[in-house]
Amino acid sequence: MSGIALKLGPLAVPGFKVSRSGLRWLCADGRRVRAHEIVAFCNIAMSGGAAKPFAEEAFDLQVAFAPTVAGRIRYAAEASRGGYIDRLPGGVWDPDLVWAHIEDVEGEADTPDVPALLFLAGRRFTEIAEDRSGLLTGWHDRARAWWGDGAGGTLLGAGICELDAILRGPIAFAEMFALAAGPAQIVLSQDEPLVPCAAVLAERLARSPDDVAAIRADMATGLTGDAGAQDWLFMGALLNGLERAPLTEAHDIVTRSGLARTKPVDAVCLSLTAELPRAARHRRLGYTLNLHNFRLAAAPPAVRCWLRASFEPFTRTAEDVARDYRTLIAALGDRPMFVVNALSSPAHERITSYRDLDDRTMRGLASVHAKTLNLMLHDLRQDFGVEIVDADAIAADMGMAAHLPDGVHGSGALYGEIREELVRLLRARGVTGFASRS
Amino acid sequence: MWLRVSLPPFAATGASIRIAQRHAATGDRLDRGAPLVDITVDFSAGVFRDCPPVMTFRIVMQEAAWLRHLEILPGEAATPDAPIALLSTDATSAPEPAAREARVTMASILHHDDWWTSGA
Repeated sequence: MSGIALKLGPLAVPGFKVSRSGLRWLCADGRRVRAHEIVAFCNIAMSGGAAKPFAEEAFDLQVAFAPTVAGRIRYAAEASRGGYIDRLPGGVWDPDLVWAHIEDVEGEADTPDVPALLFLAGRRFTEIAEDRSGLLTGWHDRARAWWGDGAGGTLLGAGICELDAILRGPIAFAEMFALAAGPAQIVLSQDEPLVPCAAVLAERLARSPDDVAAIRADMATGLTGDAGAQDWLFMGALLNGLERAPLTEAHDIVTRSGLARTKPVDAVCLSLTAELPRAARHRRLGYTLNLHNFRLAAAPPAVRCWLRASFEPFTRTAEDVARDYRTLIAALGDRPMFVVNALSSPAHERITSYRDLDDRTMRGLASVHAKTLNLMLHDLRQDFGVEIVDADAIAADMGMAAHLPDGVHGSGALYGEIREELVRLLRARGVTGFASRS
Repeated sequence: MWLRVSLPPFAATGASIRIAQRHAATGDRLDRGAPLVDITVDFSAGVFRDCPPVMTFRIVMQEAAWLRHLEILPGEAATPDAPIALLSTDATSAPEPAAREARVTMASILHHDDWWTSGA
């Protein structure tokens, strides 16, 4: 076989034995690949040490391989045996194992026979939610990836589904890291059914163990006797979101340099669209619940009874949102905050003049609501240096009808542009690890 | 002169449309700026999806007219390009084929019924 033989390369973690599964491929044998494009992955595990790194993510810890030069990838037959052998980390990590060859090489690298590694970890909502079918698959309340050698900056994303499309993208954060030299980490918090608006995030920071105990006790007695499995699953997921505070979490990482534990996040990225116009407050315990209408409408029966009996809905104004953002900003200190603003140009709206609209219609206009929130964000930028990821301008420039045909869900090209804008802002604010590779 | 209000051209998107709320009764005079109906547009066309793209639009008069007949009632599904209302430029003229589309505007509004207050 001509070309460069790609080896696994070193992954030594002092005090631990590193195991791996067989490899699973992300591209066809013989395909040309770009430098630093991930082409295969495996599950890994660490055992034998006194400590328990990745204790919450041990089941879904993976590493993806990216050749550092471009060329035509050729599988090594012995790298993959299929079935559960490729899903469960049962073999030894052998640094000299040749897992692929790369032919018709383009470009140069210091060690072209050793791939760059993209590590990935998912924290399951529950350990029984096993899904090893692919790269970072499964029901995770936190999915993260890190890239490059050693500990770098950590960006936390907490928002609506758009952040999944921007940060995680079509292939497990790979598009974000294609823009970044590293070392850097991206953490995506997923709190369904809770929508992480600023109020929810701020309250989670302030919640004491006693507060959590009170919420648990209320939920434990809140469901009626005929509650079924769907009710308990919904309540469990909701409680999980209320208990955790992603802004304060530290993270284990492993790289070729070994094991490390990062400090809590260096920067956060939020969605302004998470600030729904209506939320609810627990009548006795006072905490905020922010759920999408479609989740509420689909909630199982006993949960619906509990929600109606225990919560009081209220309208959130831009001033309310600004207050919650100021609380978060204060908690973050000098760590930068990036906010994807709201899309304010509905694709199918046809208003030729606002002058004739009555007060009730004006108050209810979705575009005005979004623009009001966006203006609030400009005030926060001026006063506190919040960075605006101007998705609104990008979408308007690219065309709402073409790139958000249903008015809500965008195209890959749109999210790609927003992703590039976010990375540009991360670089401008000097968040470690997001500098260009070149 | 009789006028008609047809649904906006959502047909190409495959959206399913329902009348959510009417703001006028038959015989009412609607001035410029008066809301006529709210429609909910499900751009997923009824296909089960997470995060269903449902938007609410308010159709607002851009010229004065009398509402003579609302062709589709609240809660009913509407057919793209079908008229949803007939109006006339005077209060009592006998029915006649609509001469043209009434001048209306369509504003995207926040869902006027959220789950907390809808009783659903």
